[in-house]
Amino acid sequence: MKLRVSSIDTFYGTSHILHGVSLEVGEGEVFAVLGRNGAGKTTLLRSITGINPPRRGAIFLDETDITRLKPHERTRLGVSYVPQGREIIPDITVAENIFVALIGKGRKHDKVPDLVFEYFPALRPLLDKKGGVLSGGQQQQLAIARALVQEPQLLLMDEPTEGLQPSVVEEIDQIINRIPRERHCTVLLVEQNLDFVRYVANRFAILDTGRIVAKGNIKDLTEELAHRYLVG
Amino acid sequence: MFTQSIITQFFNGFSVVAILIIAAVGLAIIFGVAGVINMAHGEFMMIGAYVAAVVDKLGGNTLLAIPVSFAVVGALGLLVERSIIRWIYHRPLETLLATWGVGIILQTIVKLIFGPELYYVGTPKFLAGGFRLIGRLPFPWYRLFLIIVAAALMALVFYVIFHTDLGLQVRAVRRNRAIASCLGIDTARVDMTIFVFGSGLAGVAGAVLAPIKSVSTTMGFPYAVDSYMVLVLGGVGNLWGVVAGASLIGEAETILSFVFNNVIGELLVFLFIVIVIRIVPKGIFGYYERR
Ligand SMILES: Nc1ncnc2c1ncn2[C@@H]1O[C@H](COP(=O)(O)OP(=O)(O)OP(=O)(O)O)[C@@H](O)[C@H]1O
Ligand SMILES: [Mg+2]
Repeated sequence: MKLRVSSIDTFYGTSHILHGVSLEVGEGEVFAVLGRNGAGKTTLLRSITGINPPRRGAIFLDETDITRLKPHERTRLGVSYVPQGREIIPDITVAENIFVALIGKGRKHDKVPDLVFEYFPALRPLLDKKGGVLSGGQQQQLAIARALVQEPQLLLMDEPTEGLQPSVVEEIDQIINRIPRERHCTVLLVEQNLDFVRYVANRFAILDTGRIVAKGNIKDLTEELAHRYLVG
Repeated sequence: MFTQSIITQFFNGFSVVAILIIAAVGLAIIFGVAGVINMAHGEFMMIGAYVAAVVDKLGGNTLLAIPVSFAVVGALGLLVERSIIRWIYHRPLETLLATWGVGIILQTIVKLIFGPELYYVGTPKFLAGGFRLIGRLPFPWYRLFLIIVAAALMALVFYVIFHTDLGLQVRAVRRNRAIASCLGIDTARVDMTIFVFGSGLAGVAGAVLAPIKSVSTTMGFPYAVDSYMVLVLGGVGNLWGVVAGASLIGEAETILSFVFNNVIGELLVFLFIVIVIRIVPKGIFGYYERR
């Protein structure tokens, strides 16, 4: 599924966060969104999911204009979201977290799909535990699993390895690397680790105070750009 | 002698608790899930009672009135939700005013149709009379029936919330509205369904309370006030809040009214609620924030 974000302006109340942001993600691509803390990366993803719809501009999935659709309608069109901070629903079980995702997609939900254990065998013994008691790494696995069972055509992932210990980061990164090919979906990934971005992504865009200041093929992500907009 | 009477009052208190639960449960789930304080809750109960009066006139009894009132008041809830509430969910002050207005309109309409006179609904024949519990005063069968109804309604609500797809969606939406909708849950539809369900429960309350009270357009008011007190005391973070709030208020009011008198009893209960709220502002089972 193709994504086209066309010159959007997004606000939180009166504060103007995104200024004329445009980008295009082609079918099957892995597109990385980079930028410092507070640059507007999460806001961009929330604009695409519909939690914070843009006030101006438009968003298209393939040729469909989704700018005015509610989040659940976008999900049904094929958008799934792995939010920053994981946002597992803490007082329902791991299995129920997955069932909610299946119900949301209008899928059968009498049992947890095998797909979950194919990627995250560690979740199997945790199915009856409450989402809130899982470790950060386990919650991140669940957040990705919850998205994958929806068989998304466009997967949005917001800093999926933030705050995890290195060995867990490696595990998650390996899964993220497998997803685009094995699940046949387009991926929009917010990620701080440049080495991993260079490894996994085809193209990138850099956000700085709500504006896109650079974008292009991943090989154009130079040290100079990184220095100017990402570190320091 | 005194202890024996206290024990009798304790059992009488059970039926008062049951009545409070019956009256409050619909209000509680609407507030707990959709975040709406339905100021027309008393009028919804009143309509349920009028439906029971009509069913009674047509030869039916309370058992028949229960599903009919549920359906009629549920449909009324649907109408109110679709035409008014859905536009103002996130504005507490507006929902208060709007539902208050709905209550006044409902009273007026019912008065136009049924006139100002009181209606009386008989208890079903098989529930007439009473049985001896302790002491000399008989305990009416209908009061026992109310206790059973209260338990059944709580069981129904627990079942819906914890064992159905709707309930799972409700729990997800309550906890994290934005993420639930990103997972594909139509949160507006969940709110609507719960509003209709809660309205239907208010209708059932009216139907089963009709035989113990004369049916009039203003009959819902005291029950609504009691229901608000139950929620304030019990909190809506958890369904047990309704049971806890109703139990404390019901038992305290019954026993204190017996030991002192009605007025002092109610006053003491009110004082008690104020003190509890000073300590736990969100009620015994406080609610969590909507996100
Ligand atoms: N709910 C909100 N209300 C008001 N302002 C907000 C809100 N959420 C974020 N902001 C502001 O919007 C700007 C962009 O925030 P955003 O979360 O999109 O940044 P980010 O690039 O995802 O940062 P991070 O790397 O820390 O996750 C920031 O200045 C932030 O303070
Ligand atoms: Mg962010």
